[in-house]
Amino acid sequence: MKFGRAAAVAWLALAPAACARSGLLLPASDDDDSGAAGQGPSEPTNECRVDADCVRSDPCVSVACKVDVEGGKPRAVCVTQPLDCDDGDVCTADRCDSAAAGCVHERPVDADHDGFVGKAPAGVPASCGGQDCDDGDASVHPGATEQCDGKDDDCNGAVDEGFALRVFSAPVQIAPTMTHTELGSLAFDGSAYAVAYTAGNSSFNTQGYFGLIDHFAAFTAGPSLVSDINADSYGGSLDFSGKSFLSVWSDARQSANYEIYATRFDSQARKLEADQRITHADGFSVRPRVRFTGNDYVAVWEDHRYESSGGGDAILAHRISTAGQALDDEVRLTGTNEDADFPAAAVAGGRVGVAYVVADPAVVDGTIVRFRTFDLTLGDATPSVDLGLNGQEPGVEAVGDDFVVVWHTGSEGQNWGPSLEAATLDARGNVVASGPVTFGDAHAKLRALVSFGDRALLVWSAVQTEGNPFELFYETFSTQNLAIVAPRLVLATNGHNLVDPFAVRGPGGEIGVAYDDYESYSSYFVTLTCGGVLK
Amino acid sequence: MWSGKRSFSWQRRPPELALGLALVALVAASCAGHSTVRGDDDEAAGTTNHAGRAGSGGGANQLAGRAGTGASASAGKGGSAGKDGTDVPYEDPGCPDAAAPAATIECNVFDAVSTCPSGLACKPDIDHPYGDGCDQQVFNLRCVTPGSGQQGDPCGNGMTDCADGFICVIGASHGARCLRMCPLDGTVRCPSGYVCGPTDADGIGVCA
Repeated sequence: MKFGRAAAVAWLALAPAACARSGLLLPASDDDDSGAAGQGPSEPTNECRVDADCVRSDPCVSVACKVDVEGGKPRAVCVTQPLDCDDGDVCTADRCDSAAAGCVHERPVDADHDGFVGKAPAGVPASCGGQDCDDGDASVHPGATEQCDGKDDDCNGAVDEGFALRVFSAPVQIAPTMTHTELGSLAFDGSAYAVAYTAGNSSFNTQGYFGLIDHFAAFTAGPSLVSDINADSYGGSLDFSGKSFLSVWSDARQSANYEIYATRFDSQARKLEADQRITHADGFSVRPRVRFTGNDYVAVWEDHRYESSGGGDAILAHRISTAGQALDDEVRLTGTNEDADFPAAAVAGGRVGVAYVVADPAVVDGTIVRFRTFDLTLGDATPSVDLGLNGQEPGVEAVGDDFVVVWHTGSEGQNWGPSLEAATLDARGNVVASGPVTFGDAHAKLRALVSFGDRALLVWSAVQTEGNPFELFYETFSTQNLAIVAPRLVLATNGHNLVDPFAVRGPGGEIGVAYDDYESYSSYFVTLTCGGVLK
Repeated sequence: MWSGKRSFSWQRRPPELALGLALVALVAASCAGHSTVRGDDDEAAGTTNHAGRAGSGGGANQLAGRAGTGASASAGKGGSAGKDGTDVPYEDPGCPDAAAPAATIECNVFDAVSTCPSGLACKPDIDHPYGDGCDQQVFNLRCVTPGSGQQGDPCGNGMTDCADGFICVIGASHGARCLRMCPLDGTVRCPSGYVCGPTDADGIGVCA
């Protein structure tokens, strides 16, 4: 692949000879004209007589002694230029690596020695690569037998196809010694589930906690207090970078309103730094969601700062480093003409997808579920696309390189609608499919999604028959056409209103689900496994 | 999914600004040992600020120079060394224990027979702290003139926009809405299709 300029290659090859022919045996000037503009590809750095006089401090930069003419006075100066690593092979990703002290030419290979070449690296035509969808795992390759392990073993784009998810064991209460618990988030670090939740710790305020739990909701680490303050604080949203968890939440400790804060925890539930205040503005900043992009985190939230000036609510975002520090400036993701709330975000196809709700200017009290994507630095926004009317609280998840958005309909005034609606969109926000994904309920809302490559596991809360409480159900549907693949089954029911499901992929083919009981005001955890058997 | 407790759509009003500014000074003095440090605009500087220096005496909160940039936080022991893999646990200095603040309790929102004067309704309201992070909210119950907002109606003022029995919250649908209050003890169920979800007022839920 062509990484540098062809002209640069020629210059590198010819430079020594050219220097010799140009009679560069000029006396070095005593004048320090380093500020003079150079005519080469970069600023002159110092004068020289021969190439050997020029110091090459960076292996990814070439240096040469070249003639420069300033005011009719020729002189020889050292000039630098990025090293051209283009090897002329379109099937290699060429770059200079300072650590390797030179050019690196990355070609698709069979790194795991399973007989199948891996996918083409970024920037190389896909036709150069092979069909091994995980070249770091020899058990994964085309033709392998699909296992129930949470992986696409046979590289057909589908995860664990052919296996039926079933409830492994009865739901277990999370933090049973605490009162009035309410979930904030559920994540997984590769060995344990992490929960963020809110609990009442006194008669007058609540606090957020973070801990890690096993299959049976027993704490393996923590719970740890997220923030030791006296005002109300909440469990918040979590995501895992591969090394630590970032927790992002809102609390009312100062500034006479809710602000967004963040901190990190390790897999021993130890807090890693002081609370980082992310927002500094009048008006509530609430409902934060955080996602790890592969490089850093993106936190999105609903912000009411513009209300005082007559504006609507907005969705804002801030990148946060893997060290837990705010990066750059915050970004307003929604337009000044949008009154927006309920943000949800996911990362797919190298982009951040954000779903949210805006007021429908054409209908009194009407709403629109809207979606757009950004690059990983929150730039390069796609135009927003309207997904559905009268929608509320969208959730979004990456499924393959696509985004799947699911939302419920209705309102507190009209009551909640009977079906959950969904849309699949590509990384540029183009709609692939849209339509209802649940049927037969009186009221349906509050969902969680888990990717299975070509389909999604949906967990939702619904009243099946008017007058009954909310129960939890699960099903899987195709993300390409939204057809139901595995019809609904009951996840949990106990005569109480069971709401707010969170779901995340756990070890092997296991799915962890946590939810709230809104009559005992407690939280529960349950796992789905292939066939209801724990591996 | 709901992000947590529903928040009252309480907004700071101009007459309260003076009170809030006065509180800043008081809180700074009362939270000795819970200092906050200035956050910087770049990651490296921010990391240094929280790289494990022991906490020191109290001080006023300082905000980053650019809106929404950087971070302010309490200083404590330990903390991030700045990069994954080299982290050391952080010891949160916490806030001094504080008793429940004195609140104005004129009534009970769930009384079968209101104790408020005729024409007034019992409503919760919250005074949020200014300060540097160690104060707490004050949860009041006051008799106020109710509005007319019913379930799901848009609202902008937690105290007076909604009818008796309803409060204005940032809830489960777009915008701030009047929602019917319900006790969080399970004794009263909301109408079919709704659940009694907690708010940030102790013991008071709303049908959403």
